[in-house]
Amino acid sequence: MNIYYSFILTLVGAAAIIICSTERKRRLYSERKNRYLQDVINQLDEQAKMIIKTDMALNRVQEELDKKITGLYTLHELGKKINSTLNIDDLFALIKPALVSKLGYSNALIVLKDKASGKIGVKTAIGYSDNEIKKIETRLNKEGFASPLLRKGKFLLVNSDMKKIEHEDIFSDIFKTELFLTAPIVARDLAVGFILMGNPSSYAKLTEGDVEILSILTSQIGTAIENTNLYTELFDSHQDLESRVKERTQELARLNEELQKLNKVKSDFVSAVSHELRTPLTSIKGYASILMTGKLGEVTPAQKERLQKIDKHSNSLTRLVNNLLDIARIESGRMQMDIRENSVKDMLDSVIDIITPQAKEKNIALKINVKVKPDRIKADPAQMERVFVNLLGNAVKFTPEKGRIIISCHENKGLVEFSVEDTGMGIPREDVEKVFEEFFRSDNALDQKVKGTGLGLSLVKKIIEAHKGRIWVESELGKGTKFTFTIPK
Amino acid sequence: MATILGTGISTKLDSFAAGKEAAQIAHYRIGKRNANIVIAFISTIFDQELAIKGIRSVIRDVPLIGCSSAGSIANSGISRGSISVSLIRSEAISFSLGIAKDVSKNSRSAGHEAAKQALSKSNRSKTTKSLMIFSDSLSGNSADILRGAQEMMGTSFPIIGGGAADELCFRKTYQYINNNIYTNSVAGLLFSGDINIGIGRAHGWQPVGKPHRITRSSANILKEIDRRPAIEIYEEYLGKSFEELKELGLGKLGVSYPFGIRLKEKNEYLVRSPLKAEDNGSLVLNAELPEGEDINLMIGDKNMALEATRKACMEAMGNIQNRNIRFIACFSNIGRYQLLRESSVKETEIIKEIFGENIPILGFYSYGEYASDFQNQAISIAVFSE
Repeated sequence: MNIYYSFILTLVGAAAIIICSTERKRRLYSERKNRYLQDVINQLDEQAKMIIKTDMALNRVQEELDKKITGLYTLHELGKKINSTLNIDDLFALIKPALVSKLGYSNALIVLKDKASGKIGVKTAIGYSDNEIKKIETRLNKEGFASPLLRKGKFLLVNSDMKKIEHEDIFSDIFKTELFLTAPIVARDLAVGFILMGNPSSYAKLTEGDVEILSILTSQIGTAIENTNLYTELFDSHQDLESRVKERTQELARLNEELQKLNKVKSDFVSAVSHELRTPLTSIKGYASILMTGKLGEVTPAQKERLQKIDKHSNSLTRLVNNLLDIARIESGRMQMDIRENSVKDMLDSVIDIITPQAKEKNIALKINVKVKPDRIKADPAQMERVFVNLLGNAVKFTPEKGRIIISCHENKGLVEFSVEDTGMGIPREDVEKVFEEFFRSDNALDQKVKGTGLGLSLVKKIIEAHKGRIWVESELGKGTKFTFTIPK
Repeated sequence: MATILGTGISTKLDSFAAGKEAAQIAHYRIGKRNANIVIAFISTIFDQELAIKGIRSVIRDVPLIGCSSAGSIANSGISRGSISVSLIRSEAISFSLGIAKDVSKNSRSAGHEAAKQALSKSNRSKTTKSLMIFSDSLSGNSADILRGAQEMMGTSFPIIGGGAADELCFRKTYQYINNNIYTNSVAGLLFSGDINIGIGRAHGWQPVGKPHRITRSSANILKEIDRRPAIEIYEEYLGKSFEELKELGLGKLGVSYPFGIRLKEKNEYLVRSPLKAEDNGSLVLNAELPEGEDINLMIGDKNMALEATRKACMEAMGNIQNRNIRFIACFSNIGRYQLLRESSVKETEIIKEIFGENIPILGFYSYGEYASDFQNQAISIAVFSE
């Protein structure tokens, strides 16, 4: 029995041992498995940390890029406005709080140094009270701290994690900003001021990217200051020039008035003298003709010849006086042109009648070349006759024997253009411009020989001008002269 | 006449001019007719008061609500550093406003108060349909604000909205009612009348690494994780010291790497992001994370974020009875912008793809999203149909 029991006990014991050991093994296995799973989880968790870190780094890059793009875009928008600003105060007014915020700051200052006094002045301030602005101005001026901020090409970047720079605490105190950035404004190669952008305390640290953006802004502002200065200078000099031109114009007007007065005095004088001359001339002429009739006694041939000369010379003197009077009358506006429609043909015919005898005398051919379609013009017929008689008379006078005179007429751009062309001696180049002047006589021998008053062409010009026309002359010495004039249709 | 919404956005740098321009565009979009309500979202780069004056120079005497933003969302796309003005003209809807201050003191009663005010001013002859709230994200507990409002309106009442933002500075946000600018407040806009509202929301963030247990927390302060100061989880995963984290801005990092709590019954995560760290290593959030819960750090992916937009839209679409959609409200978290960046515009493209190319949109980039619950890092979509 005992053996039997012992056997059973042994068996149970063995079974228990086996079970225990299996159970232990199972537990060990499970523990190992748990540990393994825990390891896997921890490994995965480590990987998760890596993923987050990578993701964060990527986000930072992306953010920096976005910030730059926003900054550049904002500056681009601002630049367009700056470029169209020509007044320095308008320029600073463009720096608004929203712009500063878009660039990522809450505080901004634009500080300029006055050229004359050397005083530092705040032109724009964002995020500061009036009191604070005054304090900043006083401190910058008094303590002379502005000089490091006004160095050309020098940027100041104050970040919480950066090495301490000289005066940093003082600057932070002056500007009430923990993080800030300054950049000098350079105009015409000189630092004229500086810009500060900053935050009292910020999550976003300032980076090199911020320096770049601010330096673009300062160069924009620097250029704009340069431009506004140039514009102001230009504007001032323009104003100066304008006032000088005005002065000169007034002076000229005054001189012109004086000249006109003088001219009137002259005309009046000529007119008066001519009138005074006419009366005695008429008497001279009258008495000469009475003498010639022989009613007052026998006239010898020699006396008759002298009397004829008196008559001839007093005639030419009368003509001269009449011409002078007419010129004076036209000039003073006292002579009214009797403008009406005339037949060109009739007008020229009557002129030809007058001039033909003189031309025949010198065997000069007269040719008329008329192409006016409506063949009528609006003019004062008597004055026109004077014009032609004068021009043709001159042509005959200065054209040698067997020469030729051509009278032409045609329409040109709403004007009727007449010309008298001869094959005469011509006018020296230096005299061409002077032929219409009163009492002008050319210095050449023939002109001296040929008689004339020097008033004919002057009168012609006055008459043409009174018809709102224009007259000019083309001439070649030894070949001929061509007078052309126009009158409106 | 049918309800119309017009949104105008301006990025002008002058605060007054930008407000004016945005209002002018919005006014033009509703055919220069009289609006019944102005909804404004103004980036904190602008002087808030001047911007509202600019809006008021165009649209006078119309009730106004809104908050500061980190960017505008509209049919024309998204735009950071901008002012968005939406005008609604409707005969079917009547609007009423409420405001409650001191969110930091008692968020729940503030939520309750804002809803109560809006409700008391509403047109009693019309059925209340939806409450839109804009709250300070940097003070108090936004989840509690929502609970307070739900106490007043009912737990199944559709509440949507966004947490006011600043430009990722996490310093100060603003809420507006008419011409008043508040902070530490919650503003509410109650829609009553003959409209339908469908709400959807999603976030698209994924857990990364192993789960950790919240061992100590109190309201919106997360004190310990795995029996260690809460900040250590960020030190460990981001490989940065406490000082470095502070300097980089925990709020800004938090929107990119938020916490997620697994919602057991739904197999999805509720996302919460820290706003700042306290010196003892505790983290301050704008909603609570309860003790004993397991949390994960979360990471975003562009495709999944955009997939969340689609999901939120589809959910909202499924929640409306008719398809006569008049406009969309969209509140998207700034963390999603930080993730999507230039692809953010795809968010509006997806909305347009689903609801129509010309669907008017009002919305902004927020620090928290209400869509019947409160989330961080999410997108809330509300569809208004007639």
